Amino acid sequence: MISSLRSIFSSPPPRVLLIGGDRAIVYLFDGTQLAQAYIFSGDDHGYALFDRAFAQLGPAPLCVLVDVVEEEYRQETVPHVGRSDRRAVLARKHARLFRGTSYHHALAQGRESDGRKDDRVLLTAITRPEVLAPWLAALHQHKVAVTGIYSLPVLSERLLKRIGAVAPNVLLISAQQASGLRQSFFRDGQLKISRLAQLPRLGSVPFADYLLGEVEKLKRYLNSLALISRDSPLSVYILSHGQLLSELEQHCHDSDNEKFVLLDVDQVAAQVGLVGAAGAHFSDVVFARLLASEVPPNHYARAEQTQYYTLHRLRIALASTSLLLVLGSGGWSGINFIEGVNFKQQALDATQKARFYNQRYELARAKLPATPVEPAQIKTAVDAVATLAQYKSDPGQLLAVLASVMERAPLVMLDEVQWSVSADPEASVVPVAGTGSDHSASPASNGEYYQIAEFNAHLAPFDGDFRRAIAVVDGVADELKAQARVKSVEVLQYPLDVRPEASVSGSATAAGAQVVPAFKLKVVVGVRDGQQSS
Amino acid sequence: MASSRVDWSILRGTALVFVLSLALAAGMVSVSFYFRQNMERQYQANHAQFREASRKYLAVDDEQRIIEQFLPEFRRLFDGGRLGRERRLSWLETLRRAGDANGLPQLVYKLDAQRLATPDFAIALGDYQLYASAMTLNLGLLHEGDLLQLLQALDHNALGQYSIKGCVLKRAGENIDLLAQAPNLAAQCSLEWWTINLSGERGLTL
Repeated sequence: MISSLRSIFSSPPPRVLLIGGDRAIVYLFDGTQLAQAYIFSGDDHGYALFDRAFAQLGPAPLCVLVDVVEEEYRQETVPHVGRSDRRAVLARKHARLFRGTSYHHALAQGRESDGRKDDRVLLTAITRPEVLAPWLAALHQHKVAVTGIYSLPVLSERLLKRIGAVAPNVLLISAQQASGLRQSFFRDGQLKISRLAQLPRLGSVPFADYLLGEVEKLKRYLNSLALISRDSPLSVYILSHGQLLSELEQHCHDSDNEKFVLLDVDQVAAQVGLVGAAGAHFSDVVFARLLASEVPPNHYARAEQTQYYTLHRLRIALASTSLLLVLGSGGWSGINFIEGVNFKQQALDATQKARFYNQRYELARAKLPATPVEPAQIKTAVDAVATLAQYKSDPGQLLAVLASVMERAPLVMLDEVQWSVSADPEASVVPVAGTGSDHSASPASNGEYYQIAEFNAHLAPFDGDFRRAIAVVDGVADELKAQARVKSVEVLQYPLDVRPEASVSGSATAAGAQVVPAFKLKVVVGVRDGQQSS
Repeated sequence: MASSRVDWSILRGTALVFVLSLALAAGMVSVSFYFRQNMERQYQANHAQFREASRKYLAVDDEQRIIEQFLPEFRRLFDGGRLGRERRLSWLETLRRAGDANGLPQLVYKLDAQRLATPDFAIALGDYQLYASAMTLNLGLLHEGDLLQLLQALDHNALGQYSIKGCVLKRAGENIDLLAQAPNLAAQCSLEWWTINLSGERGLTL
């Protein structure tokens, strides 16, 4: 597993496969240096070697750079439409212009200045897919993570900035070992046309004359297409090296229409970040390095050709997530563990302190007298008994009130007194509750308690004068009301019920006045909580 | 890239590593979380013990003051039957002696089993419980003063504390004869004997 992780997380050396017309070259970079380059001829022997090489090189990511004569370029305009419509329009254009190939690409190059202001696009395609097929088949067989298939002329746009080619008309000429003499024309930094010519064997013909001849051919073609801006001369950038570069310096002369910029391949290689270039005339490694240093979006590859790269990225994402999970959880767990250990230490400290204070407490407590309960509970008990004493009730207070009033009413004879206590002044008198009753059935006091008494009495002697009898009863009631703490007095029954709805019977003669003039009163005495005792 | 054409062999190892990492991460997180929680809980418990111990230690002076101020009263209340176990024998003996002393023609009592009481007034009981025993008295009285004297006797002599819930006094005949042996008034009263004690088997003892 560790080796697996290492293979995932160790950054593989950038690899570039440059496919030319009759050969392919694999470049392996080690940082900013070219580590290795393998050249494979475009025949059965070369394919076999290529297959064997990738069996050993493994499936690490690889950029495929294509520089073949079968690449075509078309300047087109398309309506300025939305993304999906644009895709459909371009698909129709590709199908019409480049039949029989799936390797096509579109480069947006601004918009027309008049009319519908259509989008200008450069459509490119590799018209013979068979050129790439053997190489790509081997890569697929070895599950190589192909990042994409890139066009060398399209990639050249990036090189212009590196070499400072910012003129309106730029012709970039480079010789590739894998393909030949590549001439790409750029207008305002945008690729317009490119041409690949055969490169004769060096030394077999005068190189400068041959190259300038090819330049002349392309110039005529560009003029026929009116691609060159008439306001500026054509800047011809030629990448070469050593003796060939010296030879070119002697033959290339600037004019009003042409301006030559001769660049050493080694210098350009350094400008694209390659240290220790091989000192060759060819620029293959420059473009390979340019591609490896900053991989652009795919140009030609189909989804199934980059599937292993997608899987490779998914693999890296999974591995990165795994690493983050382990590191994150490890960090979080570490913090938790440290906090836990801190808590443990604090818990031990607290235990020691508690033991210390308990010992001190026991020492101090030993000097105090023994108590049946905790000291705080001693006070609680004493206070609770005092509270009970405050709420102790007895009928003495109300009987005293009654006695003082009855002394001044000699005609009134008490027959029965019912007395009870309640938190509700309207409660009926229940003087003797059933045994075992729960006292809590009484409504809770809201701060006031009441002693309630109902007493039955009669008048004696009675001469049959009910008016006077009623006056006596009212007088008793008034006297009771005048007593302190008496909340209410109610006559429940008069000696004679004179209400219209009552039935009354008796003898109206003096001799027949044997009726007992009984009456009934209810007296409520209010006392605040804690003042029950008289 | 259709999933059916995906070469899962490339992802197999990494997926396994991912699953193992996930399990490892979950394990580490849960174990460390559980460990931390346990330690925190232990710390909270120990810290509470420490706070309680320090509070008790700092409260020793208060305890000494409470003991000096309230323990004698506590003992007096315990001896007086208001704290601890109820003293039924004392109540009944006091009743009998008061009845004899006052020459009550009739004194019949009924005492119910003690029960847990819930008072309808505010009372702070702490660890204690309030118990109540209901008593019903049927009395024959020469006059109403006999009832008050009997209650005074209970106040002064009985070991415990009571409160009267209700009373009925009835005239026995037309005239009151203070010299007669027969009762002039019949009284029926219901009382509650209150006792404060620790709950359950922990009854208060001195």
